[in-house]
Amino acid sequence: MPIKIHQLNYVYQLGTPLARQALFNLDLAIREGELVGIIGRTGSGKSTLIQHLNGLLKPTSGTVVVDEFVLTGTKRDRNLSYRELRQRVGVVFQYPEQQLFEETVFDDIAFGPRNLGLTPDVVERRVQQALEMVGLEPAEIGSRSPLQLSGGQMRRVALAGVLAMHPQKIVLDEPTAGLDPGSRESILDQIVVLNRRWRLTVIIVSHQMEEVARLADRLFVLDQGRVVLQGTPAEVFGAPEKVAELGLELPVTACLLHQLQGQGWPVRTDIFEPEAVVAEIVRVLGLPFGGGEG
Amino acid sequence: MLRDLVLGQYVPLDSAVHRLDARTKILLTLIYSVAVFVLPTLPAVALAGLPVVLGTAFSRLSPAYLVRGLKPLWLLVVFTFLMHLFTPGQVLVTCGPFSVTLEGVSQGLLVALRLVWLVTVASLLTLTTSPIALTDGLERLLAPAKAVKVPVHELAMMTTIALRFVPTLLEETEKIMKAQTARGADFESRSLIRRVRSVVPLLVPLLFSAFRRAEELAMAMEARCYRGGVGRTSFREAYMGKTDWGVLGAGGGFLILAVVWRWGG
Amino acid sequence: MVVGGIPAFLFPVTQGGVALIIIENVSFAYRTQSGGETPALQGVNLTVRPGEWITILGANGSGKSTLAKHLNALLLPDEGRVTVEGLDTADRTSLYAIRRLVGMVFQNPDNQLVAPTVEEDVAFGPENLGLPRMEIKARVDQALKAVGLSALRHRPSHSLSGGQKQCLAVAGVLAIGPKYLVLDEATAMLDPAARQEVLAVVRQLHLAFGMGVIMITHLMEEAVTADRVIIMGRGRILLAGDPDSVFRQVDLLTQANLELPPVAELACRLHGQGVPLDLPVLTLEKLVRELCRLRSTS
Repeated sequence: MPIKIHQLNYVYQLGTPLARQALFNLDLAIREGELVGIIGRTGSGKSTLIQHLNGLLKPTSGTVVVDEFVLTGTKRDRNLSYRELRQRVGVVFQYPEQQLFEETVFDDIAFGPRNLGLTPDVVERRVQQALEMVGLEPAEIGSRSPLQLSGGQMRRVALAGVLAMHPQKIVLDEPTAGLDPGSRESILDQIVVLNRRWRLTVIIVSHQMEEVARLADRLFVLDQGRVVLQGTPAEVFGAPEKVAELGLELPVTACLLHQLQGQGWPVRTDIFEPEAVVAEIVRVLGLPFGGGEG
Repeated sequence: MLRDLVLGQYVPLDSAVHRLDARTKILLTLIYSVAVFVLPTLPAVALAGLPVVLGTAFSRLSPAYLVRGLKPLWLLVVFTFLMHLFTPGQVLVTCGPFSVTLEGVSQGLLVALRLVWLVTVASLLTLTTSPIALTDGLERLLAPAKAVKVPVHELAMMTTIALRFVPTLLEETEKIMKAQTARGADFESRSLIRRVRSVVPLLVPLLFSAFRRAEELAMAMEARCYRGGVGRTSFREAYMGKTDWGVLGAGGGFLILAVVWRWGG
Repeated sequence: MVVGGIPAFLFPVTQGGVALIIIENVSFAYRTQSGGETPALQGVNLTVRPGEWITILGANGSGKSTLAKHLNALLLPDEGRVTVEGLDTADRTSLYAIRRLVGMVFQNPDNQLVAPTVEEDVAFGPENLGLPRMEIKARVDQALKAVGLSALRHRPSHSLSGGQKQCLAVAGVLAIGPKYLVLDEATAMLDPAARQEVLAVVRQLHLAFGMGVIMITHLMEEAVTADRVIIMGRGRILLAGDPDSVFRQVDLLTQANLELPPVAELACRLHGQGVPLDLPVLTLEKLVRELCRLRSTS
């Protein structure tokens, strides 16, 4: 297990009257090359959790293991190279376009590689590759100011800025928040490409059940600082009462199947891709209607 | 680190001091500051601690909390004290070319004590008065200055907005720092050069965002019929009661006493 | 007089008269510093009736937010005319009368709250109107109650959640006493739960107090309950009508870079597979009902 979290506790402002525990004995393991989704309502501990993955927060107790890096929150961590850990695990926070600061797209993406002390030609190669990874054309966009780009493009550039660090694992916090449908779709497609083609381990934190249900191999549902539900999207959304109890919305497809089942339909409820759901309904309807019209 | 700062914080409690009008408290702080500087001798300045102790007691704040507020200042206090030790006078201890004198010790204590009282009183003011009440009080106190074209309302509105946005901008700073850290920026490095280099990727996005916020806020304020201070009324109640006048009277008396102690007789 | 939580004085305009917003042939372009022009609206016509819920949909850059800002004179048309209850937005003397009538909530919850505490923020508008203190107090109480934030009135405004901040922004506008509430992408930055929270408040204002709502969004789901849906693209109104008739135009929506609400999308797919649904189907209830009907007749 390249990422393994064991009995993680985290308390904000420990030792002050304002102390507030955000994570409680949290256990979680992610395999190499997996695309996982972390879901849960606001305040369930999602962002606290992901900040442990690159050492921005240190465990109050428990351990976080990422490959050869072991974080315990004790003095043992002193020998740890946080710089290397942060290179290994790239974290893209919410609205990452707000961190763009250079005059050109090229320079902004080059910021990370240059911090690594790489030579100019290596930096250049990395920038070009990073732009390619997010589906942008280096020649066309590299010399433009980030401020002239559309919202969706800015977000991709910000993502490229992290990818240029050559992380093996990438954490995306609400990658599609605030984007219009077109940009949202293309970012999601790009994330799948990162996982399938570039073999990155991807962790998506999202409120959008539709999105994670579609993309993720496995889901972790957080509630009050604990993992309360985990499994494939089919398994997680197969427990609608539990999901509702946790203040989350089922994907519309899952909702429909559950309601139909409630009306006595013999439908499966462990599927949620629109194509599969449509096929299932058509199957149960027995189809005197034939496949496709016209 | 910023969280340790007591000066400038506000602790919402219901106490006699909290209930005083902001204007009363601002004026009292001013009167007290002048008085403490006017008082000439160590015993007099030591006695001037009495109003501070009384004020603390009536504010229902924990004295320990106020003492903690002095922590960031201890270096300054000690330094001031040491600076005065070598005032010429009756020598107590000689150390190389330097001589510590009785006058020096007394003068050092005097100045250090003044500093402690002043900071404590200023902390008391901010701890017991909400920032917006404070701004409002200042605006009212300075209202006469409008006659000589001092933009009192604008200054007060700017302060209010600043107060509202400080937490937001602090949060944002933290967020951008984290984001740039993921790209290898180093805000904790012991190397000064590395740290200075990391300022640009922090400040540029922060400034952009501040400008964007300012623009959006201006529009939101306009949409809510804001048109400057003219014809504007106030939601906040400002009422000088008997207690306010009484306390102010006592403050005035204290100042007169200080003046008499120094220059009288 | 109090109408279920909101005093009648919050709606200062009388019944009868010309109670509506009329947008006539409005064009507008943003001017850049270099002297260039970016057209944002081209020949837009629209009439908003009082108490109506209009949802304006469009992708980024379609001109929907620009249109919104014309409704309360934050922007003035280059060509054409906007009148609010007979008052021309280009007439500076009616500026504040117009802004009293048309309240506006913006996208970013953090950038529209002015004061450090919840109640002070609600008071900001009435203070600007120069109302007496007692009246301000009454309005603050009522507005906070209407959005369900009374218990948090002394809290620092920055400490609220995103949804609460937007509800607070609604309260701040409410205290001015508007007849129309414009929500300019007010839910775009919120998570689904917070979005529901804000929508519930707006719906309540609309249903219980007849508040006219003009909702600018790119989320199709938010259009389903509107009286009228307007689709915008490249500065023009592409399509207007009740939700059923608008969501039937799948091709046009795709052209405008919009996607169908998830339920409608699913219904479309089923229809494509030969299930004879009567499109569009906009709500889950209707879809379930229709499917059950089909199954029992087959």
